[in-house]
Amino acid sequence: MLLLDNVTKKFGKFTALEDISLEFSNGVYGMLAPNGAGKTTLIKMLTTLIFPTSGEILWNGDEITKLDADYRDIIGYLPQDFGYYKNHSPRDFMLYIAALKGIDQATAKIKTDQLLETVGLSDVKNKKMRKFSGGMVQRVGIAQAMLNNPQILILDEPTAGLDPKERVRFRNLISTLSKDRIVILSTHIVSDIETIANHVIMFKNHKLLANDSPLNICETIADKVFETNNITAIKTPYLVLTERQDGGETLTRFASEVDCSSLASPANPSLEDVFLYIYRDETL
Amino acid sequence: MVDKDKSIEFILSQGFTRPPSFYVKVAKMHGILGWRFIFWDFSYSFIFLLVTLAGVVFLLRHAPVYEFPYSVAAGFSPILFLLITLFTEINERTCNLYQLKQTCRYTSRQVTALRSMYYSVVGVGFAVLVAAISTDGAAQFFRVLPLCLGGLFLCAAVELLVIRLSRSKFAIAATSAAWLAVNLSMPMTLGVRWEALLSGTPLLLAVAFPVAAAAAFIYQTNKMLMEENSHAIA
Ligand SMILES: Nc1ncnc2c1ncn2[C@@H]1O[C@H](COP(=O)(O)OP(=O)(O)OP(=O)(O)O)[C@@H](O)[C@H]1O
Ligand SMILES: [Mg+2]
Repeated sequence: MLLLDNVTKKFGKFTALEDISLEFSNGVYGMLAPNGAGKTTLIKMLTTLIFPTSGEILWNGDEITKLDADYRDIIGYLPQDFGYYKNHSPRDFMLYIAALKGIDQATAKIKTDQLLETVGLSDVKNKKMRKFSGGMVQRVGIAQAMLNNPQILILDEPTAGLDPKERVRFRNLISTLSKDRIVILSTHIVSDIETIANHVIMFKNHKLLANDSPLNICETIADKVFETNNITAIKTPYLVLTERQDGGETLTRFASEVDCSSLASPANPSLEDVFLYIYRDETL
Repeated sequence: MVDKDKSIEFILSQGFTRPPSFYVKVAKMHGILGWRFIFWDFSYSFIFLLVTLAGVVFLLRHAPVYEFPYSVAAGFSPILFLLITLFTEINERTCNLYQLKQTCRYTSRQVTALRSMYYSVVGVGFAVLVAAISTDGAAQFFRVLPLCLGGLFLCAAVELLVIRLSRSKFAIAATSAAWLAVNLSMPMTLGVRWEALLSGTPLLLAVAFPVAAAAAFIYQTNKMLMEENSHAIA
């Protein structure tokens, strides 16, 4: 079990994360927050790239930096800006990372072929990566993170730059890989985690705002979301969530603190609604 | 009695779980990585290095080295080590895989330490070559050699210290530049006096210098290989 105990991270005077306490056990955790909220900062602390200013991070009761290589052995990490060697094939690249992970060559070869099969790159495994699409590179990134069969799989914005088809493919892949391990992924794209995350973690003003199942998080704004084709009729203050065209008229989805069910039809809140509602001051 | 057995067992178990020694760790790391992955993706660095070295050797052959054999040898002998470390380290740190590699069992830092050991072996070869080119006769060669080796290991130790403590790639370049600046400016400003100072080093001191410098280098390598938390980026 991975435990964050009152973790605060400051960069000089700037506080990027304040007093975060979290507990991770097996399952998929989706960190959902806007740009600059501190997702990458938290992930870098979990991967021992940076250290908390105060508080501790414990793996089964031991401070992760004290565990040193033993901790690095159980994590798999896909950085936000995943650099890769353009002049090498995914297979060579994977063998290299496997060696850095301390895996012997024979095992590494078997594991590499298996994983490239899983992510659907078997037929291009010996091609140079310079010709790969963004989606293919990202799949190589996930495959390399899985080399040591990590107990904690950490993916920083794994779906950035993927087209819808790749996104679906990625979601299925994560579902496959998430058995018997902790998967922590960050994103600012709601649909990425709506279906696959058991837990959604949200930050606001650099503090932990929510850590709950998607359903429970949606519950927090139950009775506050409505839809109408005549938004001008609403005289009380409201927040526009989304607008769409529907048979020549504009259907507006909005959130309101007062009950508008006499003027508009109540709607079931989605994770996207929650996101727009919570970060309303930050999204212009 | 039982207590005593228990405590003996405890001590033994402590002994067996002690962190692996320097040698065991190096051997294991090399076994897993192999030459190919220790020097992975450095082909460009090696091309730069060869070009630079060709320039250095050309300079050595055409400069009036026989007038200042000690100054020249001491100044030039660590150059191979400094350049090779500089090129590979800049490559390592600008490559956007640096962070990913820092989260692996063998971190970039540790692989760098391992690489430095091999570079130092090559560096010794180069120092011998420099000593041979810049001196005249066996007696002078053996008098200059300790100075060359001392310079090499001193630079190597300082370079590793900088790599260990600094997050900046420019700090490493600055170290190399500082060494060159000192070793060019000394003979230029002091001239014969600098040469006399180097050649007049008492034999005992001349031998102790490389030994002490090598010890410092090994100490730094060991630290870099073993130290916890060394893998951080900030
Ligand atoms: N090394 C650093 N020094 C100073 N400030 C930093 C540093 N790293 C991050 N920050 C600041 O901390 C805040 C959080 O950054 P972080 O990268 O964690 O956000 P994020 O949630 O990952 O955003 P994004 O969605 O854009 O990736 C930002 O305001 C950023 O400017
Ligand atoms: Mg980020």
